[in-house]
This record gives sequence, C-alpha cells and structure tokens, in this order.
Amino acid sequence: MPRARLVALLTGATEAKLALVQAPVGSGKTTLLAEWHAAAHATCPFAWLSLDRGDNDPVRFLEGVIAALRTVVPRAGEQALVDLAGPASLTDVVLPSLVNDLAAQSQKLVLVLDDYHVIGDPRVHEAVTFVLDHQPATLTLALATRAEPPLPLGRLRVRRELVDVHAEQLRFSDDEATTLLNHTLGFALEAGDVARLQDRTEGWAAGLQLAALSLSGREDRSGFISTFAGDDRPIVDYLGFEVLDGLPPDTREFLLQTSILERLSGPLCDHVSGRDDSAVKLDELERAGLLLLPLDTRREWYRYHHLFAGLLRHELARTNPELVAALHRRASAWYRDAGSVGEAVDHAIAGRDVVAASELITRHWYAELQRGRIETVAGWLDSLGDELVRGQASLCLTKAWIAVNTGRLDEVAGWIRAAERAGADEPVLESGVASLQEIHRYMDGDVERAVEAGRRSVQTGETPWRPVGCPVLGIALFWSGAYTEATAELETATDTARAGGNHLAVIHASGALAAMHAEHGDLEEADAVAQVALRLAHERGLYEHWATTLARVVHGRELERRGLIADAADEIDRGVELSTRGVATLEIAYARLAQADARQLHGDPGGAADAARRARMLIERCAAPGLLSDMLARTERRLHLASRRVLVGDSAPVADELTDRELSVLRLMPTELSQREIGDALFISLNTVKSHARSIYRKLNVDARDEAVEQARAFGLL
Amino acid sequence: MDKVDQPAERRCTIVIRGRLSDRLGSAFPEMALQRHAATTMLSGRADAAQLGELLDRLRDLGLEPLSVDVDG
Repeated sequence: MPRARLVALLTGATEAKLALVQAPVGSGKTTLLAEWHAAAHATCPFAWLSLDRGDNDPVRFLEGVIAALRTVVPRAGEQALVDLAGPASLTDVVLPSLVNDLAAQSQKLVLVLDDYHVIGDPRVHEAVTFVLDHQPATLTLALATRAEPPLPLGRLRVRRELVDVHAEQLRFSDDEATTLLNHTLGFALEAGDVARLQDRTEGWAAGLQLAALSLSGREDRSGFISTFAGDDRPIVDYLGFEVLDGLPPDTREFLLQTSILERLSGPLCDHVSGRDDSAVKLDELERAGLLLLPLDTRREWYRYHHLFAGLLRHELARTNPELVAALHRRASAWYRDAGSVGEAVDHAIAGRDVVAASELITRHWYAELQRGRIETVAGWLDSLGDELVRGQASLCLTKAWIAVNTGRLDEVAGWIRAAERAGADEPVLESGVASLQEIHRYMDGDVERAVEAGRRSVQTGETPWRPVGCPVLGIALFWSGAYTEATAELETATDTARAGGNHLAVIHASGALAAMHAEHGDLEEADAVAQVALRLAHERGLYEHWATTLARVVHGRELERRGLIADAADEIDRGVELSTRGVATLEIAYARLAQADARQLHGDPGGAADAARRARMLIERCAAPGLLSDMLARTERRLHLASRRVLVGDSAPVADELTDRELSVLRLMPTELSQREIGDALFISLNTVKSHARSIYRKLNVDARDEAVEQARAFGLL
Repeated sequence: MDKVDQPAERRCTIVIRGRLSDRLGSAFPEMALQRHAATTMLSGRADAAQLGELLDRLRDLGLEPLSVDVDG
C-alpha cells in the first residue's frame, strides 16, 4: 500500500471529529479514503456518500446521509426521515433526532462525504456545522473536497479536533512512487526514470497513474519517459491523450459513449451504448486498475475518475458533438424506466429533451414535493429556464404551485396566465388552472372566487391536479358559510386524501371540519376531530406545518372551555406562530382572533386588543373574507374594542431597538428582492435573513413583510 | 465589495502551467489562447457566473490556474 503514512495519519483520526482531505482533482482523495476504509473497517465501519449537485437540496442531502448511515446502523434516522418530509426545522427537529440515534450507538463509525465541493447551499453547510457542534463521540466525519468548505474549521483546529490532509501531503514521495510503479504495478523502472517521472508530475497522483497507463504494454519505457519529461504541455494534455489514443478502438468508443454518466452500471451502459457486454467491459476496466472507481462492494455501480471523465467528455464533444444529446436522452429513458426520477430529469435536461423533461416533471413533481423536495423540483424548473417552462402549461402550473407554497403569492397569477397562454384547453390542464386559481384565491382571502374556481376544478372530473386543490374547496365553502355543502365536500376531500396518502390534505380538511363544529357550538365534537388531525400530524412529521393551524386553535378553545387557560393560550399562540409560516390569510386572522379571546381571558386586555387589531388588518386586506367579518365583529364587541380601535392602532410601540443587521435587512424589504436575494446582497445566508425578518416582525408587532415596511415607515425607520 | 452581483462582463485573464495544445484548448472556445515559454494565458470576457463555470471546467481537466485576473 503506497499511502501507508497517510493511512496511518487518518487511522489516528478516529479520535478527531473531522478528517478533511482537501486537494485538486486527481490528487487521490477518494482513493486515500478507500484505503483508510480498507485498513480500518474491521474495527470501525464506514458510511459512504458520494455527493452530486442535486445534494444542494438539504432534504435530498439528508436522505442520502441517512441512507448511507443505514448501511452501518440499520435503523438510524427513522424519525428524522419522517420529519424531513414535513416543514420541521432541520436544526431544531431533524438533526437533533438523527444525532441522538448515532449517540445511542456503542460502536464508532466514520461518515464519508466525498466531493463536498459540489455543495454551495448554505443550509447544507449549516446542517453539517450542526453535526460538528453536537457530534457524538461515536462519529467521525470525513470530507473530501477540492475547495475549503465554509465550516467552523478554525475552531476545530484550535481544539485539535481536525485532521487535515492537503494536496502537498497527497503528493507521492519518491519512495511511494517507486512502490507504486515498481512493486504494485511491476514496471521495474530504473531509479533515474522514476525520478524523471516524479520531477515532471511532482508526485501528482493522476499524473503518475496516467503515466503508468501509458507505460503498460510499451517496450521502450525509458524513451517514453524522456519524451514526456521534455514536453512542455500540461500533464493531462500530454498523458491523457496518450492514454486515450493508445486504447483499442472498441474500449475507446465505450469510454466516450458512457462518459456522460455520473455513475455507471452494466445495464445502464448497455442501454446508452447499445452494447450487450457493458458489465464485462466495466469489470475489465476495473481490473486494469485504473480510471474506474467502484461505488459499492457488490461491483454494481462505478464512476470514472473525475479527471478522466472530464477528458472523455471533452473528447466526445470535440469528435462527436451531435451524439452528446442523444446519449443523455438514452440515459434519461433508462433512469425513467428504473424509477429514478431525479437522474431521468437531469439527463433529459442535459439532452435538451424538453418534452421528456416536462413529462417527467408533470408526472412526478407532486410526489417529490410530498417528500419535502421542493428545492429539487424548483431546481429542475430553473435548469429548464423560464422560457421553456412558459411553453408547457403543466410546468407553468407547477411553477404556480411552488410560488403558492413558498409564499410568493405575487408570482402565482402570472404563472397561471402563462399556463393558459401555453394552451391549457385539455380537461387535465383546465383542472390544473382551476385548482391553482382556487388555492391562490383562498390564500389571498377571496372565498367567493376560491369556491367558484374550486367548483370549476371539480367539474373537470378526476385529474392528477384535483388532489392538489382537494381540501381547499371545502374549506373555502366553510368560510363562505355554506355549511351543508362544506361538510359534504370536506368529508369527500378527507376520504380522497386519506386514500391517496395525502396526509397534509387530511390534516387541513379535518381542521376545517373541527372549526365548523366549533362554530356550531359543539366544542367537544370539534376537539375530537381536531385531536385526530393533530395526532396524524405528529405521526407524519407535519406537526410544525401551518396546515395544523385550525386544529390547534380549535383544540385551544376546548382547553379554554375546560378552564385550562394557560395551556389554551400556549396552544393558540403556537397556532398563530405556525399560521404565519403559510400564506392563508384567513387562517392567520382566525388564529389571531382566538388569540385575542385567550389573552382577554388571561387578563391581558392590551395584548388582546393588539391581536384583534392585527386580525382586523388582515381581514381588511381580503377581497371576500366571508365568516371572518362576523367573527371579527364578535370578538371586537367582546373586547369592547370597536370604538377605541384607532387609538390602539396608534399606540403600538417598537418593543425593542432593532439591531444594525436587522436594520440593513429592513432597508431591503421595500424592494422586489426575495429573501434569498437579500441574503446574497448582504452576504448572509437565507436562514439568517429569515431569522432577522422574524425578529423584525416581532419587534414591529407585525406578521408580514409589507406590514413591516408600512410600520417601519410610520416609525420613521425607513 | 460590491453589494449586489451585477451580471457585468469583465475581462478575465487566467494563466495555467504548460503550453496547452489545440486539442485540449478547444474545451475553452470562448477564450483566446496565448502560449508562452512554460505557460498558457487564456483571456476573454466573462461575468462572475461564467468565470466560475470556466474555472470549474479548467479544474475538471486538472488545469489548476497559476493566476486569475479580473479587470474592472
């Protein structure tokens, strides 16, 4: 084993929190980690995850981490995986439960994250930082990366919890190069030739490996080394093509055709290359000991060395550019048939096959989103580009749905119009347009038009879009006061959603049924329905979702009735907090009204007045708030507020001074910038922006960005 | 530091070690290649995203830049 000194260094690292192998492509990072694994696996199992760009979706990343950990700890992350599909906070809920699972292990383990440099998303870095900050003694993290990751490395170095391996250490020493070339590969080179190779490659692993490939089967090795040493081209430029041109034509063709693949298996390569002996070919290439790395112990999946893959892809694009798209399309079809949606979409996009990509996205986006992978779906649409998306009605509707669910209501109408322009005259797409309009109108507080769109959507019959809008029609009917029709619709919606495994819709619809019972004065029945919904939410990792708002408020009011005033106030406050994570204006207002009553009961008339004032601000913004107008009037009467409303509105103080950072975020709030763009502008992460925004809202006593701007202007802060 | 990234194109000059052949140099069709004694200079216009993508492409091929210069 030529890297014994580095393997020894890493073996010592199992006491450290992090082993960081940082070096350019071709330095042998993965090979070193694999040798460490081979040397240590008897005493310490390894969980191995090779990252790709798709792992910038934190949900996909953590699913990958859990899957890797489960190769070692079979039941690790069971609860974390459930929570991941919901809206639970990664650092408050998902990661603590995962870390606890690992802490409960008696055996040490190493978690390898290979190719960490592909990660750019700050939330993934935050997740890894969380693990480093709360790392159980049983876990060592090992990262292979080309660039220094934004993790708290300084702190780890100071505490000697970090083992660094950098490019200089990965260079082969003269002894190691001799061992590799003369013992492992058996070339029997003279010392002078080894020294010349060492000098020319500077011990760079990929250079030596390519040189070794060029040397095998060559008579005049010394002569070859002299020519190479005297050539002034970059190493890869010389040796890479030397290797490529020296391959048998059949092998060369196989390599070029499969170079577009991130991962290779026999059946996949057969499909892409049109051969029937790819498994044999892969085995042969691996036996040659070069170019191919196995990704599993069963020798089912491989990948090319990144450097060699880069060279092959360039050669393919240079010699046969028109073939590239066709190869991607074949790969896409294979992955589609194998049920790997993500890879199928990626290859369809790379092959510029808009039809296949949109078919795949249309068929699978909803299932992906139900797993919490909203970033992945948004990423697919981004890589297609808005122009192509506008040409496909179903993609426009997916865009609209994502906008609804990420709180960007202002973009929804535009995408619905785009869908109509793209040709949404088939029943399926008409149903989609109507369902999205239904949701959009409902979120915006227009129950009349929500009901109207919902009815249109139902009339188009059972389409894949109907479940998307399914509970909203019943909920909108409830707010509009049509109780009988609402009950029927909500019961149908609950049954349909339950049959389809759409837990979120079941919870949301049940919450509305509960609220309706409560309106009829049957709090006991209301609470029974609400509790069933909350239990389901708990089981399915949806306990933190805004769709639990109605159920929580109803449960809180039943607690009030039973005299548990403090518990009731807690439950309702939680309902208010969660409601503001969604964009359903009416539900936020409903929770605020319950909060006003709860505070009044708790002997806090000022707080009650404040909650009622906020409810009024929200309700006044709605085009058709239905029952909420009456509910507001009732609450205000109860609080004897109606006449003093203006006074209360004017007296709200800024509770705390805003910090400088909060002020700089506040100053960007009147702009069109999204929260992510504000973060980019201020060089802070999206999560930091969100947490500043939350504390700005709290300090200004508001619930939303436009209210914060309004309030800040009133206080002269803007 | 600029507050907001503008997609403005700037003149970029990247120096790599060795004299790049046309065969590999064609992986960077948007850049002009100038070969010196022991280095190759790639120059052209690119915005921040394009430059990042170009550097990734260089590194993917094992061509670690010796220097990267961006003019205002």
